Amino acid sequence: MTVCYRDLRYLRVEVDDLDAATRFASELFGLQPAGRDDSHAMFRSDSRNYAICFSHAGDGEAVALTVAEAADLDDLEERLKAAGYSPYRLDAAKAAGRQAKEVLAVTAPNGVTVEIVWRPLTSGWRYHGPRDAGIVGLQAVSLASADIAADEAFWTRGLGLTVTDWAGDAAYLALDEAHHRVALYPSKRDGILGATWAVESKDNIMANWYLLQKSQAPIVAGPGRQPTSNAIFVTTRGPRGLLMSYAAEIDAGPYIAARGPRQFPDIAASHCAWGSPTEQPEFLGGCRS
Amino acid sequence: MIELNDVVYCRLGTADLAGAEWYAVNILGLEIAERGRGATYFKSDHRAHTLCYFEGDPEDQTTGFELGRKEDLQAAGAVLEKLGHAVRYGSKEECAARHVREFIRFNDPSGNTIEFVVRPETTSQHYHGTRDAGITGFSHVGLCTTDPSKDEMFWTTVCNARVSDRIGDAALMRLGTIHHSIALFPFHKAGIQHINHQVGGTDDIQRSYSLVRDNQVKVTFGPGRHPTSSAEFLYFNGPEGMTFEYSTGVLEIHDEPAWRDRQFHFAPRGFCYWGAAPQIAAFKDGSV
Repeated sequence: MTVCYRDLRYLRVEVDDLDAATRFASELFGLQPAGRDDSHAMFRSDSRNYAICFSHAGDGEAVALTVAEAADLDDLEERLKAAGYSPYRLDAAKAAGRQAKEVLAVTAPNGVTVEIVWRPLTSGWRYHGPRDAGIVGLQAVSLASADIAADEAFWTRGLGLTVTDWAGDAAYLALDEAHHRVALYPSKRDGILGATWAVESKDNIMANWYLLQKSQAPIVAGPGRQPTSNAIFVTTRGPRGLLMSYAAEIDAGPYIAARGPRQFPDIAASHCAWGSPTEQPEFLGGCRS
Repeated sequence: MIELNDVVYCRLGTADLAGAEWYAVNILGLEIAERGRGATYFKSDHRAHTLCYFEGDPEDQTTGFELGRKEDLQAAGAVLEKLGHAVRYGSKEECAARHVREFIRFNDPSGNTIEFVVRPETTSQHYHGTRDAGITGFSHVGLCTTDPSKDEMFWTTVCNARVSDRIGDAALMRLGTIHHSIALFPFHKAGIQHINHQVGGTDDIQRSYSLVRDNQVKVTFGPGRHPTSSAEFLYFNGPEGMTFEYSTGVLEIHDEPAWRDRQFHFAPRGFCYWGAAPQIAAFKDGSV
């Protein structure tokens, strides 16, 4: 069975301070606040009712993928069980908290929960950011993995995503025509490494870079170009160390699947073709992570 | 009116020819076309040379322009002399050194040394730099002006330059379809303010940004994007106080009668669309 996902839906990230996370996400980064309670703060980047949820409810960190049909959840449950994983259904109240009709959850080897959602909420009102950051949507999530082979097997054999390229052992995984929606990085730690937000153009990447610097936000990587995906990016650090990137010009199209995965060397130049400096171990290659 | 085709070369005096040559090859990415006695000639495109460093005073700087096809050098010389410019005709040796058929030399109203040349040599050899800087050619020159309105009048009424846009009193002027081939920056003295080479694209600008910094050469402005010409740019220091620029994606003006020159702020927002702030004297203080 080939699994057909509609999109990468949302991330949930655990933070200590919801107010600080909110200030970062909206005022600095340009996401639109979209609901807040005592333990959750949600933000929009596009027509999704929310694309990232900061939480201190103790409900764990998660990455969500959308399926089209209720039957897809049954098929995935079977598939995951057959591959040796332990999927489970969320009850109605928890699913409502995720803003989806039904949710199948499974824990990845790196401890991140993957939530497969059916009928997640779309907003009838368009996204309008608090500042002109040029954001057009949630593009991708980066995951850190202390056991890269186990995590790659989980995402490919378990969930059915396709590897489009490797840089060293870092694996880029596609679920639609975009070069990747999930990037797995070998790391000393496990968990969600970062979120990447698509912006309209190169102009937004560079203008955001200057704005981040002026705001004294750290520049973790970039401005640079990923030689694998061709995306131009700049990366800062947000709440709980989450890497937050703007990206533009990512490759997309059927030719990526037709071409098959390419192996790039295990060096920093495989993460940035422009030579931008970074100290983020996951982007240095050479098994330094 | 004296019809000019294009800017064709810069000649820069240097107290350290070996140092300047090292910089031009390894940082700027030009190709050595020829080493003469006390001078080195560099290629950046199909032309025989577009930059020359010669042993001499670093203040001794010259910009060369090619005369239009129908122009007569003697007629142009007579026009300039009538306006009170002292005109000197290049000797046979000087013409040979420049790879031009003939040229005249004079000072613009601010005192910049200018050469108008006839039949500069084109070669069949491609430019191939030592490093992959992605240079596609020498493109424009920034000249310092001590009297911006007088200099603008000279280039636009005595010659055929047209103002494309202004940043404060700095006029960006075109000779052909490229947004600007000459830019005049108000400054307290004459001289070449910057020398521009075009590169192939964004990747070239950004990769050079890393290379220039990694070599401890100061980036003085950018990477950025000019709101005027829409070009992405990088300015950085050269030998003996010179500023070099790479840019890509410069606007071309094809509908000559429809173009309206625009007035931009003499402030960072007039210079960069992305928010970069220039660390270049002539871009920070527009007063003469």
